[in-house]
This record gives sequence, C-alpha cells and structure tokens, in this order.
Amino acid sequence: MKWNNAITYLGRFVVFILLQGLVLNHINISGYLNPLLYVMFVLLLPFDMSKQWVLVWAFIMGFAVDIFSGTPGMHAASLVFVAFLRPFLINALSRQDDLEYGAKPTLQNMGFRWVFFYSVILVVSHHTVFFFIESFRLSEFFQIITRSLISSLMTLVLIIFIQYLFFSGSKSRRRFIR
Amino acid sequence: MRNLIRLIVRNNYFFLFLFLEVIAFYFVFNENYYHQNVFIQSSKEITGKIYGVTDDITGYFKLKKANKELTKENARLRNSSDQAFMKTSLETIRHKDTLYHKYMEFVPARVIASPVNQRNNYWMINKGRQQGLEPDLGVISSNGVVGIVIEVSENFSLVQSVLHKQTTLSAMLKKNNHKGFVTWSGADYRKGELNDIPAHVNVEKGDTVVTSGNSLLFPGNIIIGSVQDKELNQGKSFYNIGIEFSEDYNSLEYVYVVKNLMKEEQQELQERRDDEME
Repeated sequence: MKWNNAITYLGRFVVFILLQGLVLNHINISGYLNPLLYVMFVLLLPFDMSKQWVLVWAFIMGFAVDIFSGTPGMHAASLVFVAFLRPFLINALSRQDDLEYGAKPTLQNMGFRWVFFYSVILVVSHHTVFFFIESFRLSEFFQIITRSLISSLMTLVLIIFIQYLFFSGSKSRRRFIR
Repeated sequence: MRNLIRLIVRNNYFFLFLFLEVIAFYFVFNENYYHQNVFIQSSKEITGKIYGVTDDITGYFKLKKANKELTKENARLRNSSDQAFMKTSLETIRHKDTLYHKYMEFVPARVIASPVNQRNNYWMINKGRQQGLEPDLGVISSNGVVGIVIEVSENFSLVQSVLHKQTTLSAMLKKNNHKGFVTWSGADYRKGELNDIPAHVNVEKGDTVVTSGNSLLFPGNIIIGSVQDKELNQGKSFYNIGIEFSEDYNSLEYVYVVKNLMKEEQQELQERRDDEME
C-alpha cells in the first residue's frame, strides 16, 4: 500500500513537470497568462505526510520546474513558500475530525467548498510570490498583480477541472457498491 | 549554544523553510547561475532532447508559414546578390579582393523552445558547440533581432532573448541615425521601449528602428521594430518611445546566429584603451 502511494506520487511528479514544461509554458494569450499548474502537486500531497517532507518535496518539484523553464530558483522559492503556508491553512479551514487517517485534500474527501478555498488561497499566494520574484521591480507592481490574478484564475480552473475529472469519484456511489 | 540548538530543534519546521528559501534565493540572485551550475549544464542536453522531439512533431504544423517566410527571404537575398546586378564597368576585379573583408558569418538554426510569457525569457536553438557556437553571439531572424547566446552545450544553445529584463539593444532611428537603447517592459511581447533619444530629434509614428551596429554582437541596420507612440520623460530632455517589434516572437521558427569574425580584434583594441585609462 505504502509503495503504491509512492509510485502514484512519483508519477504525478513527472506528469506535472512535463505538463508544465511542454504544454503550459507555451500557452500564451497577450503575454499575461502563464498558468503554473505544477503547484497542484503540493496541494495534493496527503495530510499524513509530515510537513517537513512536504517542504522538501516542494523544493525538489520547484527546482525541477526551474530547470525545465530555465529560471534560476524562482519556482522553487515560491513553491516552498506555499508548502510552508499549507499546514496553517489546513488547520484553519478544517475541523479535527475531517482529517481522519489517510484522508487526502481532494473533492472526494473534503468536498467542493473546502477544496475551493484551499486552492484559491494557496494558488493566488503562490502566483503572486512567483511573479514578484520573477520581475523584482516595484515599478511593475500593477503589471505583476494583473499577471498573477489572470494566471491564478487559469490555474484554478484547471485545478477544479482535474479534481472533478480524477478525484471526485463520489462517496455515495462507493458505499452503494459495498 | 545549547539553547540555540534547542531553539532550532523546537522550530525545525520554520528553520527548514528558511534554509530551503535561502538556497532558492541564492540561485535567483546569482548572476552567473548558468555558467556555474554543472547540474544545469548536463540537464540542458536532456531537456534539449525532449524539446527537440516535441518540436519535430509541432514543426509540421508551422511548415507552411515557415516556407513562406523563407521564400520571401530568398527573394530578398537574390535581389541583393551579384547576379541581380549588371556589370557596367570594364574594369576587371581580382578574385581576392582586399576591399571586401568578410566580417560577419551567419549560422542558420531552428528555435525549439521560445516561451514569451515570462519576465525573463530564454529560448533554445538546435545548434551548439559542435556547430561552432559559443556564448556572446548575437541571434537575428529574417524579421528582427532575437537575442544573445549565453550558454552552449554540445548540440544546443540557450539564447537570452530580447524579451528579458537584462537585454538592452543598442539601436537607432533609421532615418536620422540617432542612437538609443531598446528594452522590453515585460508586459506585451509585441511591444518594447526605445529610450535615450534626445528631445530635439524629430520622431514620427511609424519610423523604423534598427540596430546601431555599435555593438560587437549585431551587424548594423537589422530591423528591430517601428515607432508606436512617444512621450517626453520627466526631465523633458529625452523621449520615451514605445515601439512595436517587427518580429512576432511567439511564432519564431528559423534564426541566424551572427559570428563577428573581427570581434577579437575590436575587443583587443578596446582593452588596450581601457588599460591606458588605468
């Protein structure tokens, strides 16, 4: 069971990197839109993974994306920031009995409202931090804000879409089969 | 000391976070990141191969446009070749002409990855050290200026594009040779800025902006774009001119790497002067 999980996450790791490097980095409408979907990898890590390991995985993931996009350390820095925020946000958003052993931050386990707020807050903070580091000029403040909001919107649409496609498998149906 | 260790252990989460961020920001602010990082060096061959494969596939969809561009350029080159001109003089011309000295050499290459949606865009081309490329060469296309080679591997090179925070092109207005600098403001990949043109110069919308030929990287008179709008800067002494790039960087396909054959001589001369200054 444990090994199965590891392989699933490694597979996701590779898929998100390739998707980001080969497809999403080439999407371009008016130069503002740059969805950073790989952040979903960190969002999807299970609750029972220790938060220190989440940080390390975020760093590795960000660094891999950095290599693929030719940016020095920017994705790593912003993704580690998201991983740092994650446990505080999870605590703030959920009641203790929601986080039963083996629960995952998916539609199936947590429901739409929870997943929506969780994704919005983390994605927007990630994109804002990333575009600020990328530009590093306060004179481009409004440009950075527009860019991060538009890109966040696109990333969020993709995340919700993927959640519905792969992680929704409704609870009730499963109970019915049993 | 014991207290310090206890503090770190108790807040290990925060310190791990800090540690990872420091590593990441070390890369962000390390200017020579590409030159030093051996890991990146070798991984570039791998990402280059992957990009090469995807480009082989997507390249087919762009063939028609690429062909059209190439025919257009062929026609232009034919027009400027010897065959297009009739010789009216009876003077014989020696084959080894010392009047003309080959100055620039152009290496054709194909762009295999060219994102335009980042603040600092790096593009990859499919020629590298084996084809005689080296860092610090200019890259142009048939419609404009593309960027500067900053890093080469065996078969691929990384180009710091015009769409980059640190790229500054030495440019001039074609009609009156007034010189300035072209940069990219980071928003729209079609639009750049031309600065340092004095306020007394007559600038009109639609004026052509070309490379000045002052740099060692690009030959002169390569088109960069055309003037869109202008406004005086705060001191009223210089124009801030908005230009539209002539090349559509989003659909970039074939480029030429410019090798300046006399660069060393020029650099040597410059260095000799710098030495004297010291």
